[in-house]
Amino acid sequence: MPGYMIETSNLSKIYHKGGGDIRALDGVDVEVADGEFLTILGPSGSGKTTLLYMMGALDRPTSGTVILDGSDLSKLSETELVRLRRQKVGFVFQQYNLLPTFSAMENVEATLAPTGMDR
Amino acid sequence: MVDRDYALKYNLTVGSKVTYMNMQTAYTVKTNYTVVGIVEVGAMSLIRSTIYVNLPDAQEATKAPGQVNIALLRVNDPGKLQAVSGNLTRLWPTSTVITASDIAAVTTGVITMSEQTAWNISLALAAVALLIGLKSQLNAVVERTREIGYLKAIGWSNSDVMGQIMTESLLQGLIGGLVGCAVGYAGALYVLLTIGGELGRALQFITVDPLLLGIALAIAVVSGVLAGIYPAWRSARMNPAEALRVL
Repeated sequence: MPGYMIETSNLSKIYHKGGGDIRALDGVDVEVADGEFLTILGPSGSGKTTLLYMMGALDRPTSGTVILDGSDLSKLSETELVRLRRQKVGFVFQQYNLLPTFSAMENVEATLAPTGMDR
Repeated sequence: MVDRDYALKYNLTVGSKVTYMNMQTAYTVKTNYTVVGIVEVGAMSLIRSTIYVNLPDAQEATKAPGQVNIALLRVNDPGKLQAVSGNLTRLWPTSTVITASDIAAVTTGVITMSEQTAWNISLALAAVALLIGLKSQLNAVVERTREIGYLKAIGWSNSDVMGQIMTESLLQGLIGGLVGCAVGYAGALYVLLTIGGELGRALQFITVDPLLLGIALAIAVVSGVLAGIYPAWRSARMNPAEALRVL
């Protein structure tokens, strides 16, 4: 449906671990409008991070679709996903995830360099 | 007469006494000689402790009258070398006649074999270094899994990650090669400058070949690149979400 920045439909993610299946997401439907601020709350292990990874084009779902700014992520190539992550997704990680060998400036540069931004 | 080094070692001068002890007979036979001259051999030789005695005296001292074990002959006309060699073999069928070209051929063969062995050892060491480099890079990639996941999350492409790992591997090979060449060069100089005596003199002709250093450096860089290919490829294929889950 046009108008949504992020839209998931019947999103499922199953991890295969130790001979068993872990169903992290099971038929999730989310619609986030442009400019909308959305908070997802839930206990540890309930699938919040998995959902964020799906919506941020970091992982592919087992089934269902993610549409980000009009692009169906399941139909994008790896190169197109990289471009989308560079241009349309920004992550603030739970841990800082700063590169310890980089200075503060270089850590910022590491994020912007792939976009081709001039120093 | 005695060789100069032998004379220096035993403080011999003209007029000194030298005793030859033949212990190959039933009882030890001692023969005393007086040094009448000191010999300095111009050509480089490892053997510089020879005592020169007249042939009849030597045969008497060794109880081997009429015998020689080595005779060195000079053929004035090099074109007749083979003919002379053939005649000598016919005259003394039990003797071995070796010409200068035979010695040259054997020497060349030994040098070629030594060089081949050195190359084989070098290649084996390079292969070991390559494997160590590969293991080291693989460990580094595993340790940096989360970092690679983070870089991919912020928009680094597979080729960016691969380029990063390959560049690091190349630089490690280059730095390792430079350090190795410097240590090897210093080590070779140290050995050449500190080894004294006969061996030191014999090793003086050895030089450090810049071309060899260049080849060693090139092998180190190529090994670094080769060692980085698989870890880089593995990193590039890493799923960012899975990489970020690694604690």
